[in-house]
Amino acid sequence: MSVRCTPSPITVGFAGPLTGPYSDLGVQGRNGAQLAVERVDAEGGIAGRELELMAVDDEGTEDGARRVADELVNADVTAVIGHMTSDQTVAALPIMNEAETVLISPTTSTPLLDGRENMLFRPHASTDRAAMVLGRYAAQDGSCESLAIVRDTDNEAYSDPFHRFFKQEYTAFGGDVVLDLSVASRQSPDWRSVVGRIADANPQGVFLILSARDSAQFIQALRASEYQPAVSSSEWAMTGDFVRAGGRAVDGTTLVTTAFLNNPTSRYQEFRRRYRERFGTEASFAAERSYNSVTVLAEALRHTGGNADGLPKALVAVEDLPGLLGPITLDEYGDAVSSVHVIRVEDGEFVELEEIPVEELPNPNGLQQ
Amino acid sequence: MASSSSLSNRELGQSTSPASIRTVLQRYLRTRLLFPAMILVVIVVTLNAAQRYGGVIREKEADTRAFATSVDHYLREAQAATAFLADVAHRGSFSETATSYLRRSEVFERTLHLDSKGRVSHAVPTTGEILDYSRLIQFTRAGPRDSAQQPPEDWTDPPVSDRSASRKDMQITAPYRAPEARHLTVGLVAPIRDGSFLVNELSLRALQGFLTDFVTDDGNTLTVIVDEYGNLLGHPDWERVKRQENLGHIEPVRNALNGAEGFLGIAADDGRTYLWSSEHTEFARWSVLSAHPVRSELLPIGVVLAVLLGAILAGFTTAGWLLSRTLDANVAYPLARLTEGLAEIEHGKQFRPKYAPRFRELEELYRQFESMTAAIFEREQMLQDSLNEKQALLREIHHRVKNNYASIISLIRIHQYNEQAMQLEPHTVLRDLANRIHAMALVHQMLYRSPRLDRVQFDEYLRELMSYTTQSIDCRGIQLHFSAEGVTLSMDQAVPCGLIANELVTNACKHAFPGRDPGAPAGCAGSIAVTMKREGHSFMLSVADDGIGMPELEPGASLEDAENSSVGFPLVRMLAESQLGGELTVENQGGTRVVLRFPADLDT
Repeated sequence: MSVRCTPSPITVGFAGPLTGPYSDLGVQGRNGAQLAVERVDAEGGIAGRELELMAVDDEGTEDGARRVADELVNADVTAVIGHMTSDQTVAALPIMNEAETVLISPTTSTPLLDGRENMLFRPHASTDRAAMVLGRYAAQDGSCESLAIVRDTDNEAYSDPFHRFFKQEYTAFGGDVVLDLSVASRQSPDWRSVVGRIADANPQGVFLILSARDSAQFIQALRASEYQPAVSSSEWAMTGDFVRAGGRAVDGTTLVTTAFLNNPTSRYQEFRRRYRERFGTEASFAAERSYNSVTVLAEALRHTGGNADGLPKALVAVEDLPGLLGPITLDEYGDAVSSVHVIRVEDGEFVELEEIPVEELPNPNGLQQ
Repeated sequence: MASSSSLSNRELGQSTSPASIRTVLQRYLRTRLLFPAMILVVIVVTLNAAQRYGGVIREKEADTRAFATSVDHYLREAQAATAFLADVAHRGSFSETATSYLRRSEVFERTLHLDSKGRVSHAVPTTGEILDYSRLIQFTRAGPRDSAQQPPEDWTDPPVSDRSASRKDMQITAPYRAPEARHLTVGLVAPIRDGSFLVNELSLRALQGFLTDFVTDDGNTLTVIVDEYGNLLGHPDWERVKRQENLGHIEPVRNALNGAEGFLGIAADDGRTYLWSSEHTEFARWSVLSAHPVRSELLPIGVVLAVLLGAILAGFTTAGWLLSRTLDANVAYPLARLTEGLAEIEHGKQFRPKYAPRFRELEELYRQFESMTAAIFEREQMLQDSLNEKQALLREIHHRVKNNYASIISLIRIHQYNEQAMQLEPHTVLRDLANRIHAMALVHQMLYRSPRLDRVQFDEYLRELMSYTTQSIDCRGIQLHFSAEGVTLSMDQAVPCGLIANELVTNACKHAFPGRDPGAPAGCAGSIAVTMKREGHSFMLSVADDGIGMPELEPGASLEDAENSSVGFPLVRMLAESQLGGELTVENQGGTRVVLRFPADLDT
């Protein structure tokens, strides 16, 4: 009688909002990470060991983020993919730093964490340049000389910098912010009332820094009114949930993202096909970035032999790693820089309007943070 | 030297000493009884386990079929309710009826009346800001899994018939997160004749609760519903449904999604290992999975089999132990006692078993062994007796040799001091002396020829003695008669008797027949009769001749008178009286007859 001895798996944590208003990010991120884990395992794993995903729900709250950070550290995971929202990343990072556990966030894009040497790694660009690009784009559009801004303070670490960079660039290019509204999404805002206030201010456009579901509800409420301004949104809303829940109302919305490929590579197409076959829905940027995050982690783990020791150094050494949308390179602080894409929803699809390459991106350091 | 010894042992096939019978028996029991028994038991238990495992699997498959049937039944009921509400919506009394219905039933979380573009006309409860359902609902055609999925390309071309809503026209949507809700739902969509739609959003939690009610165990069994991609629609842990988990990474679930039904194997989920079974639903392209914990399902089998295995092995072990003990008591121990008995023979102890063998062969062995040792001891005793006898005889011989030497010295001294002897020629003296010594030597000759070394056949001795005597002296013409049949004498009596006979016959030849013709045939000159016989406890030796008698003696003369007339008589008298303790008489009439009577030995 033979006994099959399988090496113990390398446990990778995943932390994100699996329930609640931001769950579209969390579920897509977890699914993308799961798909990447299955691909790595299918290719033989890391040093003969399989990867294993341990997904936990931070409920989209800071308390939840700290709780699951403790849970993952106690489970002695090798690294954590997460969180999916900036507030939760900011809340969990001190615990990860203390435990010296690597945190690779797929979607945390707050510039507040840029240029800091810690356990956080982001294989994607922060939102500062994207916010500035969108601000400049909105100001130069001509149809949006004035606008109202609605932002969710329940994800302040993301929404505040995005708001600041957007607003400063927008106003610098001649735009006029007539109304600046803050909402707390967990308190189920009355979107019709918000629409009413904006309608009273009567700007030409509305800029949203809200989750997909909140954005969808707001836009549906907006389209149900007689007031019909142009709508633009941060990358946060750019998921399938935005299009599904928003229905036809979200068509025409302008968004900005650092994760989009007009001419998808075969790798990206293969990913989208596999994701659709595996989960029955279209992959969003959250899924793509989680997949990339696991790819980066796996590459670093190959250099450490599957061990957590030396992982930070191996991560910052990642250079030109083939990602789903292009090569991934992390800087000395574990961050990445990429081009920015201006997107519009047309017939329920995200369509690129413009790509601003890295070399043409505005410099956020010139702005007051 | 050691190597040559070892080689020698190997050549002899004795490189190792043979094991004890106890070891041999134990080995035999192990290799021929216990090990085969264990293999047999393992085979039986394995077959039993396989049978029981198969039973459990069939039971779980039946459970899963029942669960799937229940889900289908539940969905049919939901279809019927949806068709009813669609009719109500067509008649224009939707809100009141829907509110009343939802108040009484937990099957649906929300019911909506959508226009032909997918916009919400009425919803109970309301959908908040979400009034456009056109992209939220993605159709999945109801019906068997093998039917082609044909989602409508647009809400303007829904699968609607011109009849009233019926199950045939009804569709079920892909899972979606409903407005104002934080978990998934599934919509049952019924087309209405006017082109609008009735959508009932199923409460998956209520469906799971309905399903869980069928599970009779303590909550260990999972009844799981997944869509065609493995996304959780129902699970006892509702939080997992809320987290929109996907079970496609679990191999049995993956197999179910690929169309497999029935028992799908063993796999872990959330840290526990389950037996997975699957069955597809008829209405939706869903799979109902039941996951039964391996531990609780197979542990009882394992326990039963372990007890069975333990009991059988214990039985075999006990039987083996008892058999070993019996063999030990009835074979090994008696053989050990036998071996010890053999060793004790060396120390002069006769084997006398204190143990009664319990079977015939060993009893026969004991009996033969006892008989053999008894025979050995008997023969040893005989040998010892013989040895003792020989030793005594050897001592006696030495004693007699000494006596003979003493007798020879006495004979010589008789000649030395006897007056008549001194008158004889030296040649005669030496001849007589030689005859006497020969008479003594002849006894020893007869003795070593005799089967017994301590007694002499006196008739043979007498014949040999007389043959020699008559040849050494001149006895021609004299007939010699012997008679001593059946008389055996000890050496102590044979020697003096021989000397006496020798003296008397010599005297008779010399003196009883004077002037005889030496050339005459034997008997013509006279005869001499030597007779020895037993008379009760005595022997009587007589030497009688028919010669002239003893002329110097008067009739009735005493023996003392005769002694004076011959050198031999003093010797005869001395021998007769001092050595034989006998009594001599002389008859001198018609010849001479000397009679000696002496007591017989006790052995005679």
